[in-house]
Amino acid sequence: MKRVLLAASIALLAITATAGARSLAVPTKQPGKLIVGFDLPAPAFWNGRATGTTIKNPSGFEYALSQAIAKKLGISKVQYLRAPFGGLFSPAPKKFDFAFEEVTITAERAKVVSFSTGYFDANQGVLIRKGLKKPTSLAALKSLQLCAQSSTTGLAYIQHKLRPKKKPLVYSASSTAAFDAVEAGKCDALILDVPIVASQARKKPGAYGGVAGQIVTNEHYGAVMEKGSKLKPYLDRAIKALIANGTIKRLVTKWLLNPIPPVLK
Amino acid sequence: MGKFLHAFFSPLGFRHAVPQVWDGFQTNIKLMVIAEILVLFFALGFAIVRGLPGRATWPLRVLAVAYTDFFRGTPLILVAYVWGLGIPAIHAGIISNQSLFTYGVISLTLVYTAYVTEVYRAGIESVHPSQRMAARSLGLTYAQTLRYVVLPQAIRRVVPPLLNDFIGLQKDTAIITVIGVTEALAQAGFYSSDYFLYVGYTVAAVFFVILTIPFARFTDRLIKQRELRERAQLV
Repeated sequence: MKRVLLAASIALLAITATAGARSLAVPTKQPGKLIVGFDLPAPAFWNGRATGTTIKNPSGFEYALSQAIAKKLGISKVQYLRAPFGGLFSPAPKKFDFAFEEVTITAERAKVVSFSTGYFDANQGVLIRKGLKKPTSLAALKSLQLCAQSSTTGLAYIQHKLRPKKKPLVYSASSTAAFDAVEAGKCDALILDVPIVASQARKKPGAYGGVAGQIVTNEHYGAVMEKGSKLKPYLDRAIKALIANGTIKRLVTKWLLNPIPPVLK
Repeated sequence: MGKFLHAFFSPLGFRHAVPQVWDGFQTNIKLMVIAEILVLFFALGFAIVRGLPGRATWPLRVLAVAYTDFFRGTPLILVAYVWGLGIPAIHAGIISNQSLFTYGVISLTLVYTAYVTEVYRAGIESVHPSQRMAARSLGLTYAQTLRYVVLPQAIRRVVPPLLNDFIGLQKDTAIITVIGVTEALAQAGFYSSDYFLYVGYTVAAVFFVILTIPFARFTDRLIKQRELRERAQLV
């Protein structure tokens, strides 16, 4: 009798063990493989050459992050798939497990796709002209001649939140004109997405007074998944762990912001 | 002028841009070859259907006419968006689950089949009715007449306009970039945004031209050969 019981309990244990293992497996589209969506151009986020539907010699912030996530999830095979930004926010079935495409999390978008927890704070950066004393607070920005690119978060911030004394200079179309204005000293400080101003300051050292700081806008980049994806809890856990252990901060410094500009209050 | 030359013809830029754009251009060639084969096949079908005799085939003829009217009048870029972005979003089983490349081929095929149907039809109608009558009076069936008398003459006659549409199709493969197929134009765009140089576009233009020139010369030769052959027969 005892033996039978023992056998039965062992069998039961075995069953629960395998069931446990199965539920532990990460629910990716193809078991044991992670398919990550990307789109180009996205300098510093995704470097490398697109070829067919994938990318050759990838590097960059989002690439490195996807590798770190795969490692955290215990998946060794990662496939990269070009998922055009234009078709990202559609209810179409997604061919990727998640996509990293510098997507700001918004409620509207969350109606059709699922977002991971934020992996990057899409703050606004303040690029100042050469020779200007570094502003250390939001109040100090108000007395400067500010400039922005038309229809950007930066311009909206200046007009609706900051309300500086002088009217901001607004440059349309590309950011080039705005950068030129800072370089020429026509504008004291340009307010634009912090990774953009940081990469420009890096590209043209000596042309500007540097990135004086960043303004918290509470906008975050999140990974895009199919609506209701079962991967979400796993991905969220992995991203939170990578924030907690400093991996993401390290990657941001390596690829996007070096040094990380102080937050202006 | 120096700025212009640097932006579009920088020699160093060429060295980087050529392999990158070539990578994408191979996709253009694939799109073109597959679409062209499908177009030749379907267009011939539609052209034959349009020319069918008898009252019983009236609905078929109407469908063929409606199809050519619709797709000749619809911009390719619109058709590409509908397939590339719209169709996947409606969750219609296997049809919504294809690759973007496949949607590109479908869009090109739909639009160009409409054009080429008209080319074939013009060829078929250019064969004098007396030839059909002669063939039928010899005892050939309708299908046999078409196969052995009408089509061989019709197709030979429309080779130059057909090749003209080939060239159009070849160029329009670049439109498929809008749905996110990584072809030559996409690569040129990536290149220019990475290096702030427009050399990629120059390279893409050169590739397209290089592909069309031999095509044009081949058409010329074909026409000449046929003229020689037909004149020899007359003599």
